[in-house]
Order: sequence, then C-alpha cells, then structure tokens
Amino acid sequence: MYLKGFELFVFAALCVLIYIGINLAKRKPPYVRVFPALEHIDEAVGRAAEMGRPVHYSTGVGGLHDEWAPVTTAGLAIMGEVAKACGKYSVPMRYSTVLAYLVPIAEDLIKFGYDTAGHVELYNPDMVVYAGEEQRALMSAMMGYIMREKPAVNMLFGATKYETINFLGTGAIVGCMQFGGTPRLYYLPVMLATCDYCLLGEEVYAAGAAVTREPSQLGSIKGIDYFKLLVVGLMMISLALALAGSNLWGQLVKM
Amino acid sequence: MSLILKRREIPIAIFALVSLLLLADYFTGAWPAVSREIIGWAIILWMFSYVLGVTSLFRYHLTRIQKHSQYWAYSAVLIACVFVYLFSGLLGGVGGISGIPASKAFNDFLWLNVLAPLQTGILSYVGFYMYTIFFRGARTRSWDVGIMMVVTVILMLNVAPIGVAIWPGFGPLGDWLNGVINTGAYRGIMIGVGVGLIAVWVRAMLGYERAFLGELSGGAQ
Repeated sequence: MYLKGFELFVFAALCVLIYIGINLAKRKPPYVRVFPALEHIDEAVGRAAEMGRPVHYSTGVGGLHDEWAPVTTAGLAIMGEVAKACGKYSVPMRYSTVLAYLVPIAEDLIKFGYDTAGHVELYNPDMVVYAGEEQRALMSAMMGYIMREKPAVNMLFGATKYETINFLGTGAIVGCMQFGGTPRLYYLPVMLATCDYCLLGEEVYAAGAAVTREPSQLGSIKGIDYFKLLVVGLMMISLALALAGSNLWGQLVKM
Repeated sequence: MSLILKRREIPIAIFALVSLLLLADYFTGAWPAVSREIIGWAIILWMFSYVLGVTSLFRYHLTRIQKHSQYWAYSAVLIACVFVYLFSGLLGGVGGISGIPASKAFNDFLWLNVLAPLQTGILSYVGFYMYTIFFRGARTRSWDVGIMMVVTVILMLNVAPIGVAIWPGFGPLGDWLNGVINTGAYRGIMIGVGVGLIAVWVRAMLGYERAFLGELSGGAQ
C-alpha cells in the first residue's frame, strides 16, 4: 500500500469544484462562450441537404477501453447532436468505426437523434459501418467512402491517431466542409490546416457538455474554470517558493 | 425483470463502482488483484463485442450485394476475403492443434504477400498526405492558421539542411520556437486535456454524460 497524496488532493479538489460548478449552475445557468464548430453544425447539415449529399462522422480509432474514453464519449455526444440536425434536414449520415462495441452505441445515438428530430423513418442501421478491428482498415474504408460518395460534410471528433491525416486530407481534396476536434497534440496542426471549424485540446471535452446547453453540463465547464484558477494560484506559489530558494514545493508534490 | 435491467442507473452504477475501484488501486495500491480482474473482464467483454461488429459488417455488405448497390462488387470481394482468410487459418491449425499444412502455407502466403503489402501501402498514404496536405487541402482562412503555416515553414527549414544554408538564423529561431513557444503551449494544452478528461468522468459518475450508453443528454429514451 502507498498513497499518492498530492495527486489525490488535486484530483479530489477538481471533482469537488466541478460538483460545485454543477450545483451552482442549477440555480443560475453560467455563460459559456460559443464554440464556432458547434454553432455551425446546423448550417453544415443544411448545406448537405441542399447538395443532396450525406454527412460523414467518425470518432477515430480511440475507444471506451483506454485513457481516451472521455474524449470518445465527448465525440459520441457531439455525434448525437449531428444526428439530430441530420434528422431535422432529412440528410443521411454515416458513422465509421473500428471498434465493434461502438456499433450498438452509435446505432442508438443516431436513431435517437433522428427520432428527436421527428424523422425516425429515415434511420437505417447501415448508417453505422464497422470497418474491422484495424486502424488501416478504417483508413481505407473512410478514404474509399469519401472518394466514392463525396459527402458534403466530414466530421472527426475524438481520440484520433494518424488516420486523421488520411481522413481529413481526402475530405479536403473532394471539397467537404470539414469539422474536427481532438486533444491529441500531434494531429492538431492537421486539423487546423484542413478543417473549416476546429475544437482544440480540452475544447472537445467542453463541447460534449456545451452542445446540450444544459445548465448542469455547463456548470461542469465552470467548475473546470475554478480549478484552472486554483492551478494558476498553485503555480504562482511554487514559483515564489522556488525564487525564494525553498524546497517546500518539491516535498509537497512528492507527498 | 427486463425493465429493471433497462434502467440507466444500473450501467451508471457499474461504471461508478468499477472506476472507483481502479482509482483506489491507482492512488493507494489497494486491491491490485481486483483491478487486474476488472481489466481482464473488460478484455473478455471486448472480445465478445467482435460478434456485434462482424454482424454489422456482414449485414451492411450483404445488403449491398443483394440490392446490387453501386460498387457492390467491392462488398463481394470483402466477404470473400473474410471467408477465405478465416477458413484457411482455421484449417491450417489454431491454438497448438495442427491442421492441413497446405492451408497454413496458403494463409501465410496471404498474410505476407497480400495483407502486409496492402497495409504498408495504406501506411505510405500517411507520409504522402503529410507532405502534400498543405498544398492540396490546407484552408488558411484565419490569422491563427496563417501563423501556424509560417511557423511550420520555419520549422521545416530548421530541420532541413537547406534551411540553414539559406539563412543560418533558421537554426536558433526554430530551436527557440520548439523549446519555448511550443513547449509552453504543449504543457498548457496537456493540463487542459487532463482537467477536461476528469470533468467528463465526473459528469459520467453523476449521470449527466450518457453518450457512452447510447443516450443523448437532455432527453430520455
């Protein structure tokens, strides 16, 4: 047995602050800035309706079984909203995945989105495509689909890896309106260069909550802001201690 | 009974219990055997989910073949490949049980001469796109992206021998961009990512985040 005291303290402080943020938001919904990527989902799907072409969505190779589970969750939440918009404008959508267990989850989310928009009859289980449990299979499936069907909108939100380059590169070549978001730093430049609208880093996590506009969800974003203030305060203290020649901070972190 | 099992509280409770046990192990080292068991179960469940994926794959492609949709022949090729590779592997022997040597040799041939080159071919696209993406697909529509493009060019010239030959200043400038600006931004983003990750976990624990259950927040299914 051991105790990672400082890490546990930081983790607990963050959880408490998020909880406080959520409870405060129930009384007064907080202001959360608008994410352009989310604001333009409706417009993009409307464009797809005008062009008579589908919307393609993927959460990349990240799944719910690893450390990227939260970002996949956020990606799925955004996909639910995209499905709602597709239902609203009667646009077919397609979701490509490399993980079999995401198939029923995505089917439920897309069906629910179309149902909420009042067009459940447009839902088809074939909107979810399982490419096989292999990243390169996903890459070739998505590239082939984009080249053949030329979707009007191409979206990639999740824990993406090097399929990002092929996926968004192909989308850019066929002229898709592209949306992307990932906390994975290696692929942020590619998204910036090829997407019309991007969510960078932690914005993806916040977007999963912000897309619903529910006060409780927005409150969690406010809780994160409180925590960041705490982190900045701790940084200032550590800087002051270091400048004063004290080793107190080093001992505290090792607790 | 089935109504009870469909209640959303049950998966949320399982999620909460499992994640708290794993966190207890991480922070205190308590019950490591339990954590290992949970992770083992997760892998077993994941393996079972292949059935869902294969069912979905076959449904999609068999429907395309049946309806003679556009490019249906590709679907037929895929289904044929699945069966040929699967059965040549099974007949070649699995799990220490010896099978038909010719079948194993054929399976190995497919792996080495078909699958591996195809995978390498797809991988090579990554390099190809990486170098051409900025010319063919880049959308420089804002100042932010413009700055990123300029920095990209400077860093490329920093690592390419020709860069320093053109202007020696590309060396220290690129190093400074990498060591100061890039590292600072990287650490800031990583703190934000970590915090966001825990926020999603807290929301899921409290039942606000339900996308992983196939539900959208703000509405009951």
